[in-house]
Amino acid sequence: MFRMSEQALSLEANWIKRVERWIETKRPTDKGEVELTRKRIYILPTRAGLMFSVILMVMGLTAINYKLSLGYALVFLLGGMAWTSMFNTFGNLHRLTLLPGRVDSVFAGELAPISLTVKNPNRREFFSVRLFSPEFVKQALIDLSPDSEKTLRFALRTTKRGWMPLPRMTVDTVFPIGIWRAWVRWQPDLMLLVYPEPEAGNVALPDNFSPGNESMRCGEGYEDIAALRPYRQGDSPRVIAWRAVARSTNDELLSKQFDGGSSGEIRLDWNSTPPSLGKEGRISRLTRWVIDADKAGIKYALVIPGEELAPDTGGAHLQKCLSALALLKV
Amino acid sequence: MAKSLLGWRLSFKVLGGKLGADWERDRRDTLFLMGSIAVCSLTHVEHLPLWVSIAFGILFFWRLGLVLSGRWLPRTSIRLVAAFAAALGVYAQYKTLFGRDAGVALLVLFLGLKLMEMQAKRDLFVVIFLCMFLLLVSFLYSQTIWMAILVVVALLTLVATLMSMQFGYHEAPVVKRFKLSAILLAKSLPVAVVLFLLFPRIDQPLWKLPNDATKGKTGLSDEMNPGSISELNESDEIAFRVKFEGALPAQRDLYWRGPVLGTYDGKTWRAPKYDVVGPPTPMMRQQPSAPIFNYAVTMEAHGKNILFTLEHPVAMPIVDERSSQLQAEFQIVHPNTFDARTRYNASSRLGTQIGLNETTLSLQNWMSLPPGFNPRTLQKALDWRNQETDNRALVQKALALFNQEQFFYTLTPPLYGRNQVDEFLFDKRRGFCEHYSQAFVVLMRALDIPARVVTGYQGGELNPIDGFLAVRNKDAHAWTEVWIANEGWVRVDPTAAVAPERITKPLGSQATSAATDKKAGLSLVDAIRYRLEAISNGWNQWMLNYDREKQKNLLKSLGLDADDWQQLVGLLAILLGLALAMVALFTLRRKTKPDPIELYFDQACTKLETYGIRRAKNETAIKLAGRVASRLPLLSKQFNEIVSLYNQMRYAQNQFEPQQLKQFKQMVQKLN
Repeated sequence: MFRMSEQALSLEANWIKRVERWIETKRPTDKGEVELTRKRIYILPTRAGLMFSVILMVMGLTAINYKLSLGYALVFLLGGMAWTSMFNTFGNLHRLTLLPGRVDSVFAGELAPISLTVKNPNRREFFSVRLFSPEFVKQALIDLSPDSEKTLRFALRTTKRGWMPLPRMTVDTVFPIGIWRAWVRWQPDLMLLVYPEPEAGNVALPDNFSPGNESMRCGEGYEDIAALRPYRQGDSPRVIAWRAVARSTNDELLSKQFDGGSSGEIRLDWNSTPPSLGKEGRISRLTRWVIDADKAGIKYALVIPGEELAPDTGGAHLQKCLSALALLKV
Repeated sequence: MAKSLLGWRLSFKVLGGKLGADWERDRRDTLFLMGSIAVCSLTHVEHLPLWVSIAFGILFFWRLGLVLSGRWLPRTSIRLVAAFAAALGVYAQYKTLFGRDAGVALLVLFLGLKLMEMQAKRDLFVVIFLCMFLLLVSFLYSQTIWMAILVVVALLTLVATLMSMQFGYHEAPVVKRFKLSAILLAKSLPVAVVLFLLFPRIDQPLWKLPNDATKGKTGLSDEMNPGSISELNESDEIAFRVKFEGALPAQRDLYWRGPVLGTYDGKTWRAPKYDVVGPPTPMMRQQPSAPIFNYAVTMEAHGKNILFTLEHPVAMPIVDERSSQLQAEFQIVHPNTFDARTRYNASSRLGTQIGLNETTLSLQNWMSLPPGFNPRTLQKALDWRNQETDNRALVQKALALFNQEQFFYTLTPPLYGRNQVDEFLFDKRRGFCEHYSQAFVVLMRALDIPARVVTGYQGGELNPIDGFLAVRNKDAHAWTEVWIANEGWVRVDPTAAVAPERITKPLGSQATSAATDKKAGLSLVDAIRYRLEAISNGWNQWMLNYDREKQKNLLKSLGLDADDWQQLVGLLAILLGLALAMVALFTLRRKTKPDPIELYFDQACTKLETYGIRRAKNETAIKLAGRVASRLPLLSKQFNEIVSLYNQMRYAQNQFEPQQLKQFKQMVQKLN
């Protein structure tokens, strides 16, 4: 038996790929919704299309030589079909609308989920439209009935920390008969913030806060509640005193105030990381610390070259810290 | 390596009945392809040697079995051996690997073998394109309307197969695939028609045709062997069709002249050798009082260079812009062989005298008999010659012999021995036109009267539906000519003396040429037969005979000169452009028809813009109404009503009434 899906990607001949690269001018990124119009859609024959043209020529010569009137008719019908299918292939992208959805930050090396929407505002049906990028783990092959839309979820490979533009994606189709390939390059004007990769392995929080170590292991630190205070925006759900909230008569959320005062605060300092780790290694260490400290629900401050974030807890603070680390220039 | 391992695993899965999604899909596509291959191969079953059909069938069902069971393809070594065996078999059959028949047999066998190594998508394309080529070469054997229909069906399945391979995860149902394929083909029709009509036609083959290109297409042979087992061509196949301008000649005058035979060795008649003296220049003398008949002949391909005309033509027909020539024996030949259906115009005058300029010496070419054959006939001739000196009277005497003695016309004559003519004239007295012509010519030559056998066609069947006279292979005939002083070569048809109905009425048909206008009197079977033949003839005339000549005529009627390449290319470009524009129009239709509610609401918003209120892209109607209320209190009431109706029509659960829409439209129009 045979496999087909692997071959689907390599359907175009090499020189066609070169021509593709040559005719694609450097396009600016696309803001928001993009309607696929004739200005963006490229179309070239596939490898099978070239094969078809050769076969048609041989058939034509045969018809001429043997004076086969019906042979002429057949060749012209097939030739007409080749041209017609070019319009069909083009039409199988024309006036589709592409819409970038949301992207969420991830740590470097993780797969970032991306959602993209393809809309068909036409009365026509669209078949077998492929959306892919080499950076994506999988490609999507979709069909769109008239007046419909589909939201596709992709997983994007990430490697480096910092702002990462969405990769250049290709939307293409060879429908209906595989002898033409129409394609569109699409790069939405969207950036994805990739946090640094946290250091793996057994890494302890810095010494300037001891209970944190234990709390990291088994979460005992949660028991040392000093007081309850009203919920502040950015508090981690873990520090919300759910039992107390359940008991209280009003709907106000209460957060746990952990024990320790100034000693409950932790200082995650660039300078306390060993320089032997290297710059990225030190950032990884800090990232790990930030995550662990957040998990432990400890107030932490982040001190990195050129920036100092005051001690705090909660999701917003975590994001702030991770962003600072992601964008740290050293 | 990894891939093949994966393949193994999956194939075991298939055997175990757990089909991977990908596998199922591939197998379905392959099955679909097998179906269309089956339809395509149908177009070739008729003319392929049986063993080729069987070999293809084995390969086909082998692959089908593999698809169904999900097993692996055979090893490369097996496939190579099979390919070698196929080539060997074809060579054994045809003694060559080239040429039409051998080529087609090879093509079919290699398609079967390709099935055995169809692995990737690329292979599927190769197989489908091979099938398309197979469809084309099927026209080498038959271009009937039925074949065309079969090919269109096959083509449809091929396109549907191509489409099936392109579907994504969602597969359209089979019926829909066929529908989409039919639409695709229908949309390519305008382009095909324009190209068919205007693409420059070339008269000469681009390379030399293999010898078997037009094999076995004639009802006439170069020689005559009346004694051997008869291979009389009794087929209903059309040899040529004739359309007369005006009235038809009488059936008994419809002699379509072909090759003339004069050399006789006691067994076989062949074309004259002229070893005594060369023939004189052919000369005709027309009878001014005789009528002229103008007609157009559509001749089927017969692989020879002979043109058939009614005896005798007034001018030489022109074919492919080249004039044909009159041979010394008054048959008409063309520089080219006719390997395709050909149409030509001709006019003939009955009663034209030929060969008046033969000399005593040149007539010797038509007087020799092989020594030592047919002694009884020679004796009879000697007896007659002693009684009668006038050649004309002797001819009549011979005809009277056939007419008055017990001679029988039969298509299944007995076998004749060494002295064929003796046995025929005195013992068995059974035979068909060839026997009578042979006996007559031998008798005449024994009488020292120059005589020869003329082969050709006699008669024809008029189709009352389209007015075409169909001359079939079974109308092939042999008659004779004797040379009479001052009259030249005179046609004598001894068969007519025995079986006049053979001449006045075509065999095996109830209709005669006299029945021209008896449409109403036709039996149902005949009516259907004539109707079908008329359709088939129309097909031949307009579809198959579309050649350079007709193309020129078409262009002329459009006021264009076919020899002017610029004009032709210009017209082709314009019409192709139009055809493609039509295709584009149908393929890339506009977006969804705008929703009437939105349309009217947009009109209302446009009106608001004149007051400086522009609706933001994401602004709801109610928000907009709020802004209107604060900025344009005077319009507010009107606009609020519009918004409330808008929201009601748009978002209420039940469908809005057409009346509401009308009201909405009026409200928008009144907004001011």
